[in-house]
Amino acid sequence: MLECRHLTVTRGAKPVLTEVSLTLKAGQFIVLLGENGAGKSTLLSAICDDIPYHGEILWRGTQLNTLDPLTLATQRAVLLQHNRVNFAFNTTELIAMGRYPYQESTREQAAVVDQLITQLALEQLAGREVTQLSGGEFQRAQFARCLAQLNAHDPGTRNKLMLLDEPTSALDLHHQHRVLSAAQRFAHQGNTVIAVLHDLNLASLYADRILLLAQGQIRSDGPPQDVLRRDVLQPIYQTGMQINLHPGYNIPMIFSEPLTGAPNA
Amino acid sequence: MTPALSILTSRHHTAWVWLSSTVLLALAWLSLSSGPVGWDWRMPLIALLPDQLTQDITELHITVVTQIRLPRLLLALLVGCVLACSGAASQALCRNPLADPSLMGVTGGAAVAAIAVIALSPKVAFINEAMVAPAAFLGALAITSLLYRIASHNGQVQITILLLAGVAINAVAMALIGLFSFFADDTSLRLMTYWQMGALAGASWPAMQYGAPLILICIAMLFIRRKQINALMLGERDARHLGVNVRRLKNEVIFLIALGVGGAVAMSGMIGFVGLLVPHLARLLVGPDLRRMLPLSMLLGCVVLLTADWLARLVVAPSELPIGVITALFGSPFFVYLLIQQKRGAHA
Repeated sequence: MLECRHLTVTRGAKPVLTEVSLTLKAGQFIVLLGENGAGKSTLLSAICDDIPYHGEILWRGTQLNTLDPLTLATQRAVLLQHNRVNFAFNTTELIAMGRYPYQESTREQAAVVDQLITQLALEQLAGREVTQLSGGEFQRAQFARCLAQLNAHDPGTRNKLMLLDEPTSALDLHHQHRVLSAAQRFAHQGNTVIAVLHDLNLASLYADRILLLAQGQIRSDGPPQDVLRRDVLQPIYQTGMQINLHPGYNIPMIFSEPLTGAPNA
Repeated sequence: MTPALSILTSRHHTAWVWLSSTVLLALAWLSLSSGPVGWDWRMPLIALLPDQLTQDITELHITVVTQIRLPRLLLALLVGCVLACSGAASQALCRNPLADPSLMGVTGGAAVAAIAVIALSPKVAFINEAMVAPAAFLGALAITSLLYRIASHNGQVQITILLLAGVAINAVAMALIGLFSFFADDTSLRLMTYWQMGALAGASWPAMQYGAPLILICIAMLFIRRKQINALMLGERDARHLGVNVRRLKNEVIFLIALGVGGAVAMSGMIGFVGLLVPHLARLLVGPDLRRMLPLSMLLGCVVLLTADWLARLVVAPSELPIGVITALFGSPFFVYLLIQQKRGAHA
């Protein structure tokens, strides 16, 4: 579905992403992992067309940056990091903005927004102004806007591309799971979802495929049990860790160790 | 009604539009009926009323209404409307409710260019009055695009830099206006002083033809783009991901702001703070969505300008104050209030 060929991004003279080639299938929740500065957000930005790059990005066989912006907006949604709004839209209005690429009445918009508000349990936020929301609340509202943009309320929606840059960075445990479950469910419907995460255990719980980046290249690529291995992770994160299987889910769970050394037994 | 629908339609938009339209109508009536020549409530209806009701109205009175009061009313409506629109557009473009063409120096830039034309027209053969409006537009365009380049970084506009650059540009504008007035003859000097403080008294049908087209184009084009400009308020990247051609839209908005401010300055001089005050009021009433806020802003812009004009004529009647003095007197404390609000917001 999404294919990157020889993707290279440089910042000044410094390469941030070097010759990255990959093919991402629909129906998978893909997580990008890596240390700070590994190139995760850069890869995402390139797929968003937010930065110049060398190489090709093909979306369903067509060069992504040649698609008509409005058509593309009905197929690709992006949740960005660190973005606040200075105008007092309320949460419902913000989510409804996800419907801008479609020509529809307020009534039709409201029907979509209602479903997503229920799905993401945003009832408490619906009437509040986004300028008054906490970082996490705003992040959830923006996530709902992305879902609205891709018709995620409709279980029949297929072949969409959703890009999430650290969607859980400001969220509490419950909402991390709520957002990632919704993203995963959307992916499993037949869409491509790519998320940058920092929490290795959340990645293990939700990802169908993990791409581990380091120094602008893909170091490891595969399902969680193949990527989340001590011999793979430890050189990259330079942190001591134990990896055990989750007793309920049988997937790797990472127990990292403080840099100060082993505890006094 | 579903919960989302009731929230999306809860801003009482129609009620506010009706209310401000009614107030506007009353003010327009007042403005056509009153003036130094005398007060007569029948004036707006003179063509509709039966003859026996209008027999005592003199020819002079009718001429005053059609040649002075009516163009002045239309000018106030156009300028009020376009100042509110360009204010709202500047705020969306800069993603900050404190942006305003007069504070940013756009109005100053337009005025310098216009005053240069006025000062030079008696001296240079090929420069004439018809060039005032295009010059004001070019002055405004130069300043708007310069400012946007100075203050924006990676698609984010730094409001502090924007306002400080505005201070600098306004200072340069004042210095240049001072320079032009130093060399100007008496007629130009009077005209220039009057321009600097803004006034609607220059309204006449011939004067209207130069600036009005710029203003009407600005209003119509901004109105058509209100949904896209809405998306811009989320941020440039977010707007782009919603399918908006952001680079083109930004250039268009800068161009349209310059067109509107240029047209307004060309016809009525420097009238400050309307672009700041009116959109803020409209946002308080119906929220920031331009699809509701822009029409209300247009109406309120007309209401504010007509009120200010009425006050300007009333306070020192039969003489009149420059309208820019009135808007600045009321507008600047309001700006300080907004600054305090923003500071509180930042600390909350």
